[in-house]
Amino acid sequence: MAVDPGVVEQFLYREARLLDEGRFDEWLDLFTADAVYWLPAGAGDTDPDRQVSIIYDTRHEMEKRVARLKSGWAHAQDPPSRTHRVVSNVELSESEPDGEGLTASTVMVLFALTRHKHAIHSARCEFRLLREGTHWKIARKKVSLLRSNEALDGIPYLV
Amino acid sequence: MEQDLGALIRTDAVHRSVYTDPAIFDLEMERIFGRTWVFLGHTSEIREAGDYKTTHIGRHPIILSRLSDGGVAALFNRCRHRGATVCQHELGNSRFFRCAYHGWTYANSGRLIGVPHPAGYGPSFAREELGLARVPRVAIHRGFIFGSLTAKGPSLDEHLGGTKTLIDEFCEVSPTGEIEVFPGYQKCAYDGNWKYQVENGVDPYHVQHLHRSTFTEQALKIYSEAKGLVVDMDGHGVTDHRDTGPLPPDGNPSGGFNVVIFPNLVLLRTQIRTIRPISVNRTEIYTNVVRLQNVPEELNIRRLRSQQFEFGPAGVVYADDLEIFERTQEGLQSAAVEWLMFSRGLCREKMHGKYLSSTMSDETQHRGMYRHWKQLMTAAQSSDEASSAAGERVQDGR
Repeated sequence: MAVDPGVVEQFLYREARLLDEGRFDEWLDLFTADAVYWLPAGAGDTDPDRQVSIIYDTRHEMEKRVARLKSGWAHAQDPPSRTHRVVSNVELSESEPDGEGLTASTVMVLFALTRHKHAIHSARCEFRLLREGTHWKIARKKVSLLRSNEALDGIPYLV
Repeated sequence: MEQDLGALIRTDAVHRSVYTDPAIFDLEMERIFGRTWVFLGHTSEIREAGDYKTTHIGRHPIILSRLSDGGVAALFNRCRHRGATVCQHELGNSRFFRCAYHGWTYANSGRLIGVPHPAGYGPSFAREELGLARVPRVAIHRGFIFGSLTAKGPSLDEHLGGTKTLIDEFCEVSPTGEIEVFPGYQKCAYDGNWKYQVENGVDPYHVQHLHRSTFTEQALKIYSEAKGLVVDMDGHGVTDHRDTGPLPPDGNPSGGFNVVIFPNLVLLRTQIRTIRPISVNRTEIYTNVVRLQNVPEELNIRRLRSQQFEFGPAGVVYADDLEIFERTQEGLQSAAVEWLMFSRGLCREKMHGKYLSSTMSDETQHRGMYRHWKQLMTAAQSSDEASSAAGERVQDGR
């Protein structure tokens, strides 16, 4: 099935907007039931089973992360951070022979204001997308921060 | 300042300037990080001859180097010629370090082995005296490598005191009795004083409230109902929850103990946490995750996963710790109230075997560490200076 790049781009912008607007449940709905959300640590390529990551969540942990943000007890999000995400350099590659999956690579710049502290993160993101019915779902989101090997100030918001 | 330092630590309180005064921070770098034993790394990070790791002792950039005879040397990462660092990587393997500026080259033992156009220095050039300066003392316990910038002083054994057996127990979670670390670190930073992490590493009192968003009722029970102890263990801080069980191999928080080995090492659950003070109001935390030997790989992966979910800059637990460290630094900018309270349990602490101890939510362990702080900060100037280049090196008994 031919992929319309414009549709995929809109999907990626929506993912970013849902996070910017704190619509966490809708964000979770974008992911498959066995999704992985991964922020590697360290420079270069890493193996999440053999090397330390910043985040390596399965769907279960993602749900717990969201539940925490909604609990009213996530002190580091009181008040909640405000964020803007710029998603750019979108490149698509078919990853499944039957056209049911693809990989989208982007560059994302995240501006985050947490109380009075302003942080900027730049990252290469890689989304593995699967078609579920008429929609795309994210099977894996990998966020490789430019500063993945630096000592980072708290990141109490979703990236 | 000299007379005042001791007065900043009362039995029941610590003065705010201990966290906010840059002059006190400078003295801490000199009298604490410049004198006592500082944790540098784990032997599994530098297993093979030529392996190295770069780190810091206070403000000094350090290369931790595995020598061809199996020994470990700690070298100052500073070219003897004009001062540039000679090693730029966090971890690696090399037989030599070469300064990029004028090409001075050092063996990984620190020995100066190459100087371009040496004739320019004349016939009295003492190449053998111009190696990378060595940290005078390096000592290892169960793979934990410590360095001291003073040539004389208490031995590592004396420094560790009772925490030595806790390090042993921490290693013995591994069936071989030997632990290793997963490659990589979780690295965090915060705008606050380094001692907040020292306190927080052994502070059961905060868990129920600060981490309420994460810990289940079940886990909170461990903190609210444990009959565990907080211990002043030879000036290091311990929270001992072994009454609910030994350190669980999968890293869950029930049972075991936390220990803060003053000034910069925290052991808890699956973690080796290293505290790096940057300035009076900036701190970095480097965390290794411990890997067990001869266990099913799933168990090690579980250790890794729980660590990654809860800790690091985005950890659901640690994000709140980092936040509270910054709020504390902010609050302490006000001199309207001068003292921080450290009085919990003074009314009920007592000797438990060799050590002064109290019940779980008390602050005996913090008082012990501030007594240690005061001792180091008010001790007479040591006769051994940090610049001593004549170092020893140590055989690692692995």
